[in-house]
Amino acid sequence: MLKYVLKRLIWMIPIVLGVAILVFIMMTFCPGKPEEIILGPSATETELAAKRLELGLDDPIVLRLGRYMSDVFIHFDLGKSWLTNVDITSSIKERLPRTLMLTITTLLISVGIGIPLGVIAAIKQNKWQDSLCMVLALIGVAIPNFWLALLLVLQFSVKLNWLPALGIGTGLAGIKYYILPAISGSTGGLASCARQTRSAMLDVIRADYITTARSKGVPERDVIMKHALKNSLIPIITVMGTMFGHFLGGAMIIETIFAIPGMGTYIIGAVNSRDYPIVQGGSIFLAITFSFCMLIVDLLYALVDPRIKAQYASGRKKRKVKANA
Amino acid sequence: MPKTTGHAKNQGGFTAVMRQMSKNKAAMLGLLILSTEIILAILAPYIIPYDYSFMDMANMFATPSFSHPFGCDDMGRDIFSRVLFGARYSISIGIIAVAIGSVIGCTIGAIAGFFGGQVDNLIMRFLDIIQAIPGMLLMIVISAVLGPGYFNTIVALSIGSISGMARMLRAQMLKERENEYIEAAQSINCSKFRIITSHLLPNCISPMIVSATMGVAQTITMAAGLSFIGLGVQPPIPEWGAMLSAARQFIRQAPHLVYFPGLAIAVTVLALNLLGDGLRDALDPKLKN
Amino acid sequence: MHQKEINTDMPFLSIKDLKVEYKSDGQIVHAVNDVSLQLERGKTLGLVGETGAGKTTIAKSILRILPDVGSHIANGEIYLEGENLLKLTETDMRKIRGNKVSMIFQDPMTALNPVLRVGDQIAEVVSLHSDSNNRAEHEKRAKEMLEIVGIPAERYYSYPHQFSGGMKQRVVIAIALACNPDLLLADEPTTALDVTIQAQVLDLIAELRNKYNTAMLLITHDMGVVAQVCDTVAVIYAGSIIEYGTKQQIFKHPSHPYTIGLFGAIPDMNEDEEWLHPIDGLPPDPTNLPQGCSFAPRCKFATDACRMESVSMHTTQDGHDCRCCRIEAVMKGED
Repeated sequence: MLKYVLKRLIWMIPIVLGVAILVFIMMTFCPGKPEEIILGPSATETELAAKRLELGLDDPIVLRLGRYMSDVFIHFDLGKSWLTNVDITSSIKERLPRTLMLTITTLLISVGIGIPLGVIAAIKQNKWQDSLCMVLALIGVAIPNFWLALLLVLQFSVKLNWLPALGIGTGLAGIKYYILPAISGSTGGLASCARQTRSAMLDVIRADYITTARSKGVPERDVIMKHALKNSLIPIITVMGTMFGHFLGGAMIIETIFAIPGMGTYIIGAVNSRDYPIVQGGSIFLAITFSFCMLIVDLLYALVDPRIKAQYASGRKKRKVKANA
Repeated sequence: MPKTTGHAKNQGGFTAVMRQMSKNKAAMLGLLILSTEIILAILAPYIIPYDYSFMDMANMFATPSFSHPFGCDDMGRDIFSRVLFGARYSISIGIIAVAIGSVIGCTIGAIAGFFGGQVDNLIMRFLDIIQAIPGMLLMIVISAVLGPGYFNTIVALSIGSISGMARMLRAQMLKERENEYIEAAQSINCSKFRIITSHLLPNCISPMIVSATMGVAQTITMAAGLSFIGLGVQPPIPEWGAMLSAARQFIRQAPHLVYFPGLAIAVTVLALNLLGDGLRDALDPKLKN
Repeated sequence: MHQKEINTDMPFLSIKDLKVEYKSDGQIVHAVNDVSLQLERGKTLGLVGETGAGKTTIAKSILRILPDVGSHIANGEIYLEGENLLKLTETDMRKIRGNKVSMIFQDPMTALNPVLRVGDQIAEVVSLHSDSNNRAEHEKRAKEMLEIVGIPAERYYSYPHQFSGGMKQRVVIAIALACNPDLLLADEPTTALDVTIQAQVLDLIAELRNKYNTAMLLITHDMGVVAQVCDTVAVIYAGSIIEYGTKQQIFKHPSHPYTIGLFGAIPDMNEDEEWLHPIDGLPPDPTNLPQGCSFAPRCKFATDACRMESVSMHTTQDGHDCRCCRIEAVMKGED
């Protein structure tokens, strides 16, 4: 198993390098001249020329790329913001935990409500509970997160004043700042989770080993929870992986709405103010975070299904496994 | 079981699918809503009661009434007309971006799936790199490069949908490639291009159609999201996301500005999802035959 | 507490007029039609018939583990030691499953839960029916059962995918016998296995049955297995019992045309035959059973009376039951 983890980590390296190269090249096509952005509109021609020289902006692109790559991956220096001159790495260190907090809370809500909804829909297949859950799922997927955020703010902050609309707080009390953002971000994932759980459970419930469990006298609740659900987890975990990607992406907008000083506001602010090193550094960092999460998802598979654990250990890697094989 | 005949099942396939789907009430509802929206969007310039940029300051923040079914915004513009006109942008962006993304994505996926080996590896690594960046972030970065605007947004969203389509088609290709009818075609010296286009692709199409439908829904939401944060399509064009963004500042005094553009997005996405689900159910059992 | 109606002069297991229906696509499938069976303690009844004849449904009805959606016990009574199982509450029924009555399933490859350890699956049935909460005790019993079925106790910690088909079936048997059931329902326990393993597994089942004096309902379509293991035999066709007697009676004097056809279809090693003798035709559509005798469409002895009226059980010369109204004619071989 350790071998598998190492192999995956090594695999991550070319991908992260690739992301860095890709983003760097994209940023060179962005509108605006770096020296003008840094020095501002009042800079003189000589100052601008000096800055260009200092940053090596007239060097061939391959050289600049090489410099950037060595800065990032050998010296772990993502550079400084063009506008505030603040070190990007330290800003990210401050902001990433907040984004992660938001994303994980959103994930917990989606999974915590989605899976039970899916289980109920599967047990009561074709009855009213099933239809209700599936209708809720459809609506959940259709409602745009940013719209829901505004509606929730309208209801709970403006009208009822129960929850804060903006910013973050410290310590345990700070959690209430994440509630509305997490709820607004979770609807799509919740719906996917519910649908996937339902479909996986329906497949599993027909399996022979479920009949075996019943024939042993296992109470129905344990049949569902202990036998059926555990076997349904594979597709659910797969969906969780995709969900995480959507949540990370969605966090960009949610943070903006709720003024949470995380990676989202950082990067979007940087895009709007043309502070491109931040966009580069932030993207690379988020790509790394995302890849790590995918690795965790793959490891979760092994935790849940001993057949997959065996595959990893033996060195073969399969992409998909049937839940009830 | 490997298939021995592969001739495209599309003769009469379309009508059969439609007939199957017509039994699904939810899917037909989705189709109805979507068609209505498309027709309204096309006719919008001729049927909107007020020009979408017509400002009537006397009616600033007017709440919904008979003459203004959705009320008016901060500049006295009729929200109903703006939402209706905005449909042109959202829906067209969704469809065009997914169409372009599908064509390019399917080509890449077909090449990767058919040729396998090093070609496949190279393509997959490249897709891995693109997909390592979470979706919305990628859109934001691409939009940063291209800037806001209708066509730029379409380009950005097309690029975003390429990798998903490519992966899916590749997976289908790999499955279909193993069938005996491909071996048979190769043995009679059928050109690779012909094998891909005449034999393999038609049989891989079905899941792609479903995926594309869902993709349009996702793209519309993303486009609105981009507009919301200042990229995408910007005012004065009444794109739904941009309208929501503008509504934010007035949320205390005029909440009705928030309801309608968001509702428009939700209804459109819902209709597309219902349609997509219906297509999936209609196409799947057919494939099993 | 409900009044237990215990009738002590009834046989150990007594099924009366069992009728089970499935609903599928708006149609009703008549899976089991007015089946009556009896079984004495410690004896083995062989239930013989083709796939789809309703054998598994009968077994599942005894345990009441028919699928919730779509299946329906329309009529009948199933008495175990005088108590009607069909009238028990679900809680009481659970106490019986795996404990007093247990089942061995046909396909060992899918009968075990892939994500749970093999030993834990045996220990589960032990702990469900044990008064103590002592996990170690249950594990010990599970390991004992593994040894009894011929699997080393260390394999307790293995997962099903690490076992071969034969070994998996042994685990299934271990689960079924862990609580010393009084009645064992064995649904084609050897069909999915290699021939060499079949013999081993059959021997194992027979040995354990003898040791614990377990009554057994053995479902099979293999007459050889019936000959080896059973005391009484019931032949089932299209959801009804069409012939029923002791092994000797059925094998020496098969009286129903279907039973005769079954024996005739078995190739004889000693004869030099070129062709097999299958029974012509196919079993009837269970959603649309014939009006009269269900075998009439395929029977060369069938008369109009056979086709019009439903047939009740008649008694043959040697005293066993046969659902045919033309027994004498069949015996003489007249059409």
